[in-house]
Amino acid sequence: MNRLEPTNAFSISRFFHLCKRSFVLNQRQWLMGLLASTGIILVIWVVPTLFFVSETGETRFENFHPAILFIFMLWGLLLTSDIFQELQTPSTAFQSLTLPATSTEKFLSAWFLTMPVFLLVTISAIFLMSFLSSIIIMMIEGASTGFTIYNPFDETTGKFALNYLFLNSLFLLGAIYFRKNNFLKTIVAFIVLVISFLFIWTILGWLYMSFLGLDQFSFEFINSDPTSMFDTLSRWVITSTALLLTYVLLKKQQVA
Amino acid sequence: MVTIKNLSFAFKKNPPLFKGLNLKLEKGNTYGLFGLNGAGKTTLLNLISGMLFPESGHCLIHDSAAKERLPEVLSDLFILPEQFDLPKMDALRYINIQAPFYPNFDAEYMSQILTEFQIDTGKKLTELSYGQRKKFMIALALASNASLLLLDEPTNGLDIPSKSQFRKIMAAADLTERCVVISTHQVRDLNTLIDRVTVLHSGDIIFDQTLQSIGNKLNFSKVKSDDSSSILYSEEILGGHAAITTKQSGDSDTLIDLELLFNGIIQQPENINRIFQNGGIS
Repeated sequence: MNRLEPTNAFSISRFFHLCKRSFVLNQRQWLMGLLASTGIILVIWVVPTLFFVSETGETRFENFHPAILFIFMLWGLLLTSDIFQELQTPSTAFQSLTLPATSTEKFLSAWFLTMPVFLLVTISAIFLMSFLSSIIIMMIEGASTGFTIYNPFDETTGKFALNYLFLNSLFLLGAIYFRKNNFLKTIVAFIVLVISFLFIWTILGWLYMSFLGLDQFSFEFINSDPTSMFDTLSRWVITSTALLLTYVLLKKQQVA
Repeated sequence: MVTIKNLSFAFKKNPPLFKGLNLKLEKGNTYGLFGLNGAGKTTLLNLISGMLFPESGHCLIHDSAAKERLPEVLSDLFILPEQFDLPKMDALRYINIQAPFYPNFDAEYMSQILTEFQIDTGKKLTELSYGQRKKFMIALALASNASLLLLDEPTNGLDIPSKSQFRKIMAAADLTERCVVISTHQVRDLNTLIDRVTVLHSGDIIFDQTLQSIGNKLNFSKVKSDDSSSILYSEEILGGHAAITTKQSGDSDTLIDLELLFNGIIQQPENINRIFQNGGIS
């Protein structure tokens, strides 16, 4: 049996064993999620492809990318919400809390599985589906249609990865902060925070306008270009803060 | 091995459970941690294992704060809670993912204990009964060879033959370099296992003595009436009184009645402790 060195410093072998442990503990649930997501995608893509084959190519797999990525994102956020479930249940928490690994390793393994590994699995799954879809379309429409395959480095996937990185950090924080129904509670908390932010922003805007004696106030920041400096900076700040808070809460976690 | 110094702890919106608790646990000892319901036995074990953090004071294991949950400390500690759930997987798979974290884990010993406890390792852990799961975790705890073992009500849920097996396995285990803390209500189950009695009451350790010292200073016998001045504590039983008396020089050794001792400590702590503070046989 493989033995892990009980060092207090970060251990890469222990980190990978933690990842393996999390995977083994959650594999049934994750596999079911992957199958369910793939099933939904196949239904929304196969049905139009088979029954409404269009000459304009509207039913091609690549046209469904945003919807497919959204479904996979939901699956990813659901599994992120459950990543600390062992820790949140009083009858199982002892296994995680007294597991001889550092909090950094526990935190990084949770992030590693729900972010880079998830992205890799998602992109691979889409690539495979795209490959199969091209073959099916060629069989339906003939070889003249051409063989197009999913490019994982396209803009849509890049935006998806960045959006997922941001949302993953929030749901990871929700996973450690809430004890039950983490997914729904994180969504509600996120909505409440956004509304509170808008409310405070409006009040501040009003005060600012009154102070300057201006009669017009526009919510320009809402319609700002998503790639603007403010948007990008705030996303990175929120992501880093959420990840840092997750680590701190994990370190301070006690049995219920 | 474990040093608890001026430890205070309270659950949210509750009065303090511990106020300035002090306790030392040394290796080579098996402690019977006794206390009434709600005395804080489980909380104390959770504080020692770093699953709960003290409000003030320290709980040190090998000079490291338990709340730091350092891997070097945790790989040498195993806690078996009273109530627990295990994942839906077969026993061997679970051993394969947990055991590598314990550098002194002995797979052969584990399989030996599982055979003795008659646990089917091919079955899913969730398919095992509560008692079987407890036996599985006792096996894992012992095979981890962790030098600090914290067992919370280990015999709860075990049938009578399993309790005997547990006693046999514990008695056969080499505990000379280990510190074992067994928290329980069922004091009779532990008569032959422990070598130290520690009683937790009203947030404090009110009694902490070795069995040898108890045997040297106290007698446990049945008496006709409880009006003798030498009786420290007595309980009415069929045909007389079960009594704790001070051991006189020349008295022969009596079997220690842990249940009677526990009741005596809870009801008359001053009487019992006075004998140990005075020191020696009168």
